[in-house]
Amino acid sequence: MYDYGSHSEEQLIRKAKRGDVKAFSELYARIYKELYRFALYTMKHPQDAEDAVSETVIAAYENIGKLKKETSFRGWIFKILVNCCKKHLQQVCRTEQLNEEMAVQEVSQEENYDVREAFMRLEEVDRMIVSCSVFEGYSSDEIGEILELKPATVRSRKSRALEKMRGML
Amino acid sequence: MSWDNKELESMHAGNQNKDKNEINEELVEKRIRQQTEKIEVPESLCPESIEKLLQEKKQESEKTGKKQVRRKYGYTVAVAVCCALAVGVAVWSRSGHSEEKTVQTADMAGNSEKQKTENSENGSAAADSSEKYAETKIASAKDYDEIYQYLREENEGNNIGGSAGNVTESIQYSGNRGLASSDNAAAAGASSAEKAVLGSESASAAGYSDTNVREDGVSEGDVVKTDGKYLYILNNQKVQIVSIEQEKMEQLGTVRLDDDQYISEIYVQDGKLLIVYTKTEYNDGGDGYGGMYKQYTVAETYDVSNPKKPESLGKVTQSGDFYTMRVRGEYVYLLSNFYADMSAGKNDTDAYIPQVQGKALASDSIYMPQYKRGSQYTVISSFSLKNPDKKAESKAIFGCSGMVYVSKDSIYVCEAVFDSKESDVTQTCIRKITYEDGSLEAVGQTKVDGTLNDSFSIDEYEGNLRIVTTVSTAGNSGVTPIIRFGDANGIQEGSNALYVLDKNLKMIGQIEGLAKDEQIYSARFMGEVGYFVTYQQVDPLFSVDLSNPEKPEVTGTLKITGFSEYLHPFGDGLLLGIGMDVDETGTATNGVKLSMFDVSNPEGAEEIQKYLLEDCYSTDISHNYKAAFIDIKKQLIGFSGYGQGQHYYIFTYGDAGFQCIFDRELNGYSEARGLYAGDTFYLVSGNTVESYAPGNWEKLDDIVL
Repeated sequence: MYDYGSHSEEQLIRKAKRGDVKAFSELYARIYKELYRFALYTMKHPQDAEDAVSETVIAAYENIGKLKKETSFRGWIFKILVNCCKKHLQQVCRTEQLNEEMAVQEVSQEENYDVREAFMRLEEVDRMIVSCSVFEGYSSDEIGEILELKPATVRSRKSRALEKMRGML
Repeated sequence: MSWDNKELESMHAGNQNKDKNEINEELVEKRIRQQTEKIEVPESLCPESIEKLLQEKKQESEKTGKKQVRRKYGYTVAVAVCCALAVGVAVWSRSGHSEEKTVQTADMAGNSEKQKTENSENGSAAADSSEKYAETKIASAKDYDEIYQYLREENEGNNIGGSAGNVTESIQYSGNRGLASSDNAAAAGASSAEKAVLGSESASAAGYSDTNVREDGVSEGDVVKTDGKYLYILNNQKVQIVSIEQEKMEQLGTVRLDDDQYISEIYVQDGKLLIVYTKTEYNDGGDGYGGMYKQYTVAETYDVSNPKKPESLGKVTQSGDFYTMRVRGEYVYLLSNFYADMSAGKNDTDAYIPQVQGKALASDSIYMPQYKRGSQYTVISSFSLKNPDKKAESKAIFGCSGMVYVSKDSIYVCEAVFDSKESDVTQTCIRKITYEDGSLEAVGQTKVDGTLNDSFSIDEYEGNLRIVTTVSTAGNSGVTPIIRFGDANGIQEGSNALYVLDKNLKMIGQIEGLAKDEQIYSARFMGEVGYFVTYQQVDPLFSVDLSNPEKPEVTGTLKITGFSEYLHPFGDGLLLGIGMDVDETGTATNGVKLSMFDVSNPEGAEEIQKYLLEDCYSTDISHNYKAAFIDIKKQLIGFSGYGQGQHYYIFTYGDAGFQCIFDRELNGYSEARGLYAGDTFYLVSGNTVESYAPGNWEKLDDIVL
């Protein structure tokens, strides 16, 4: 149904900036799975992931006029998504943190988990770190900037988180 | 699932430079990627569904045609060059109005169409972009109903994009809370930089130092004050008076306020101590629900002629959070920010009309914004220290409260707005209120492209207003405050501009397109010369010749690494810069940097000395100029900085450059202030005061309050 399928990203962004919904949707179509995957493994509930992505897409649509480099749609929308997730997590973190910690203790290292379960055994900030790194390939410095953490903190948290996950996977 | 040894081995073999942990990490990452490749995306997020959703949104917004006025955040900016700026003014009169509210006008860009908001019925604000606001009149509210309409407008605007909110809001100016006021520099009225010196000059003449202020000749409150005989110290809920007449300090009187009163600043003049605080009252709404918190700013004056027994002489109260205060002559100007209760009913005027001394301001004392919506006020009241229980006059500037700059005779309220229907760049609305001996009079308003860095970016000299702004497309507005990093949106093409407006806010001179892709970090106007620092990777210090206000001209740019966050005239053709040193790649800061620029050559400045405080990563001056102690006669520069803990540093400046002569680690973290009285230097931090002998900097005494 997309007659824009063959357009370059640059062309699509230019059209989208002029308010072309179809062009915007085509841009979205090219990456929506990645967006959702990121949200799914970062957010605790699939519903929250869904909300984060739809909030992101609306924000991106309304703000695409401000996207300056016409080649970087993906990086741009991901940053919006990361912030949306961060915002959601901050809202729920207080109530959930305790449960998470308790859950981790019950887990025996030998058991295998599916990846999503493994993610959920991590603290939220670690989930963000791992998702940013694994799915988006951001460097520790970039992640630090996004999450307002020192790069060294990101590196050590990431190592510990991955080590933990290695035990679970 | 188990880990495949072969897989591990092959990775080890191929990555001899990596340690085992790194390889393990990569392996886990790879596994996660593999296992998460297939996921099912919910129906609602499929491109088809999203396209439908967006189409609906688009239609909806076309129907309502809401204006989008958005907030711009302090941190951002830098972006595309402006499209013509159009500001103008037009004489404004509304029948049945007293003359008082009329005012100014001018046609700034040769463009004098009526602003849409006026003709407003044209519903679809789809505004063709060529139609720019042209006028610049300032009008007071017809009645409370009109204000209520604006509130409703704001409210609806908010709801439209859901969380995406099309909101008019003021910028969060990053800097200097004290904002508004004074500029030692421009001050002087001298045409040359060297005369344009320091507030602290006058102070040292009197034998003690005063708060570093924005505008020479306009006094400001702070957390520590002295009159040469006593120190007045704000210490949590108390203001304490310490005698410094003898080498041994002695604590005399204390004023203690109730716990629901938060003291912001104190001020001392002519045997009177002014304490400014914000008081929060909870109103339960009468029936147990619908209760809300109300905040009042209170300026309470005490007679301290007997410092052991301060006595209250009366107070002036007004709605809102304390913002700043200024004193000129015997008159105090108190400014607060009042947020209207957006859910208020129309008859509940108390909830959305500001009060002064318990009485609602009349509608003709409330000035309306240039756009047709609003939610906040900057409330200004004046009173005499001789009659500190009576207000002299009050006005409120309605819209979205912003930064305030106070010159020797005018108060400029500046708010940053972005309205995508009117301009694709962020803009600054400026409203001018003149003051004299307690009277307040609205003069006019205008709008220029770009946003201000802090109150040093705007400056009045010989009646003209000079402004430097960073012009950017509306970068980080809207939606979630998202994206303020990286290249995706945070740093965009942008440029900087300098405007000169005459006393009626008519634009008479301008330079645009300066320093592309950079943003202003600091500025200082010194008489007929202006300096500002932009930054991206290197720090150009721009010199601008403003001797002909209609033809401002950039006379020099000096590129050095790092950037100055605060500029201060330092006597004889010198300009002091305090900021950060940044490595050549522009990515890492090396520490706090002091620079001395020789500005005696109008063709451009030269950095003649610098000093790097390596283990210090920020100073209080970067966000509050009052934290600076600068005494040009004594050639001293003092401030507190953060590295391993908080330190107070004092530097001398002389032929040998900067020398650190005092470095004291403070206990805990607090607002620290250094000041002089007589021959003694006092360091106040938290509840301790220490005194030092200058020269050898040996400690003379200390006292814990």
